[in-house]
Amino acid sequence: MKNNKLFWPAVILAVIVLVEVVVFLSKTGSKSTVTTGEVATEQVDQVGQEEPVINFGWKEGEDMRTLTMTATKELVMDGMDLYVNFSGAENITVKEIGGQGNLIYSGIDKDNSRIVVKYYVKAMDGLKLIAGEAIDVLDINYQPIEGQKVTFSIDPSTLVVENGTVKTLPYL
Amino acid sequence: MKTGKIFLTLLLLAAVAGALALMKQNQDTRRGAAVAGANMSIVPAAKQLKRPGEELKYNVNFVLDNTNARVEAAQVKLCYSNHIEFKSVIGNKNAGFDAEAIAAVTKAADGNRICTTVAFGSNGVTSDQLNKLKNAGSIFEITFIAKTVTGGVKSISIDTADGVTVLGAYNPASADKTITVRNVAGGQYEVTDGSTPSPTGSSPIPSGQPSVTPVCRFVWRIMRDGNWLDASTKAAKTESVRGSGEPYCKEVKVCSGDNQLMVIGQDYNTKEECEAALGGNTGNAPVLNYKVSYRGVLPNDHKCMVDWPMQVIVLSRGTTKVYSNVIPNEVIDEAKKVVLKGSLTLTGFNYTDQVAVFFKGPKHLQMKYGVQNQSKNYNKAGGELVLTRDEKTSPWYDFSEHPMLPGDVVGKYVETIIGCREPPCTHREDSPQDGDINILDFSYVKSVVAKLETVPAGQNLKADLNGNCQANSADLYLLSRSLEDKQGQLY
Repeated sequence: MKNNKLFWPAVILAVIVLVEVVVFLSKTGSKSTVTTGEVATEQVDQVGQEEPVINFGWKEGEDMRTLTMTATKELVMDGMDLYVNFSGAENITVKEIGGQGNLIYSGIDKDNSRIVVKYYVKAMDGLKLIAGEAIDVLDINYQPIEGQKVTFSIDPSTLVVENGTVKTLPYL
Repeated sequence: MKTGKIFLTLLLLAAVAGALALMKQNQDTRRGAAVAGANMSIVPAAKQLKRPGEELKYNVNFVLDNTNARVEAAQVKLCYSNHIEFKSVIGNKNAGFDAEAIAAVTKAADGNRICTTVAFGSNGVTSDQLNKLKNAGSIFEITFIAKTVTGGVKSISIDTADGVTVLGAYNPASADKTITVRNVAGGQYEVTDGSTPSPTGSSPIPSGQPSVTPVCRFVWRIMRDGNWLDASTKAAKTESVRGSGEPYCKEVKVCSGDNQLMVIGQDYNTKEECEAALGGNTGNAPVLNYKVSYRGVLPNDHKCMVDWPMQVIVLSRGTTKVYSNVIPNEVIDEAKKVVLKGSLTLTGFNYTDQVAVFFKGPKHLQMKYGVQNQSKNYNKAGGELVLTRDEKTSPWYDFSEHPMLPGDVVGKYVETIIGCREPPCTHREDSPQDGDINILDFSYVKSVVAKLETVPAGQNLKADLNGNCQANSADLYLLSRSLEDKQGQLY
């Protein structure tokens, strides 16, 4: 086998291809960059690129939904600017859950069909989230608009921030 | 022998699988190479005729061929002759861009050409303003000063060589943000010494000039023989041909794109009034005498509120001018508030009436002021302030009863790389304000308050909102009050 003239060239070629695969795949999808020789602007979109550590979910009831939040690992949150897009619903009211002692502002941005909730944890050591444990964040009551499909979704401009580091936490 | 055969077979199979993965990746990259194509233009395209010392203003516009795409960042390289000099550039906030450029770099090019590369982002665009991002519009307005006589018509162009002019799409779902610049159109200018008749003080809009996005601006017209003619500041002096009882000059609004000429604005009936309104002839710019205050800064307890730089923007009839690092002349401790008093000469701004002014402190939201003794939000377009060109006669406007709201200290983490190739090039401590008070500001202030950070008198601590040299719960309280006020205004 090894006496075959093609053995070592084939092995070397295969190794080169595999190295290329590893190098290329590790580079792609990390950052988007606009570069010139003079000015370069690099925007780090943390939400879109890192592994999510928070999963938002929904519980549905009759003309109401509850937004839940589950951490994939133990972390401490300082709060969030939450934006929920909606369509097919009107007369929306929201009730924040578990916000006692915290700063909470909420409203309906009718121009952009969006629920806005600012949920800021006053405790200096933040709010501890336990891995895998879902917490209810928000109750949304609404009236469906006849003939339209009701949808609620997290707007990508939502920010969840970690206590102490001021880092935005990636979510899904 | 057999082991070697199996090894080689597995290696080759892995290589084939890897090659297939690479091919797929390449295809994905190609598909994501551009989310849209763009045509870019410099407006006005028609020749601007100027004299040394006068300003030339251009808008750089874009139109995308994908109506679903929106632009969130732009880098544009403009090249022009060395007869004019770059003065300033301001981003179009109406299209979602920050007013302030990320960078503006001017370099000499071949021959007597000079190129200025400017980059704008939308970092200061809050989540509530994302809908401002557009698929067509102006990116920025750039101002040049005419320096020397050109001896003929010169061109200003957008340089697309080497991909230096690029647009970035707002595309949060993907890393794919590239917009391909397909066509560009430039503009023309001529600087004369005044011996050549100047038919216009600002560019006329030629008939049939195509422009996708109408751009409106104010120009001056002069009344001669019963007709409104184009006027420049100097041409407006010919009094002899003005008919009896006719106004001397007035301002008109001209829009490109639809070739609309709207005659609006005030008549100026005498030469003196006209020249004062036009500016430049008396040699004096309007003066803004102001009194402002910062919420939370208490009398006799602000040893660290020293020379906090403000940004001041003046506005009249759609024209704005930005003044950065404005330091008030005087700090006065009154019974219940601290008043910052100053006189700002509005160099480069020619309006003295219908003025509004925006103040923004170094850790504060921008506030708009439009009337004397304003004590609440001014929720109208434009403004009602009247100025003069003399510090002594210009009215003192007191806005201190409507203080600037503290709390805008940091923005979202953005790395800006200029002459740096080994991140981290910036630190969170340096992350700029984003024009909003949000969870990032709250968390930042909280993190500093948790450490009870203190600095000596005269120094600045970003999270110290009341300037008492310590970040403590009072600062967090101030931030929450600002939030409360802001939310109350929005919803």
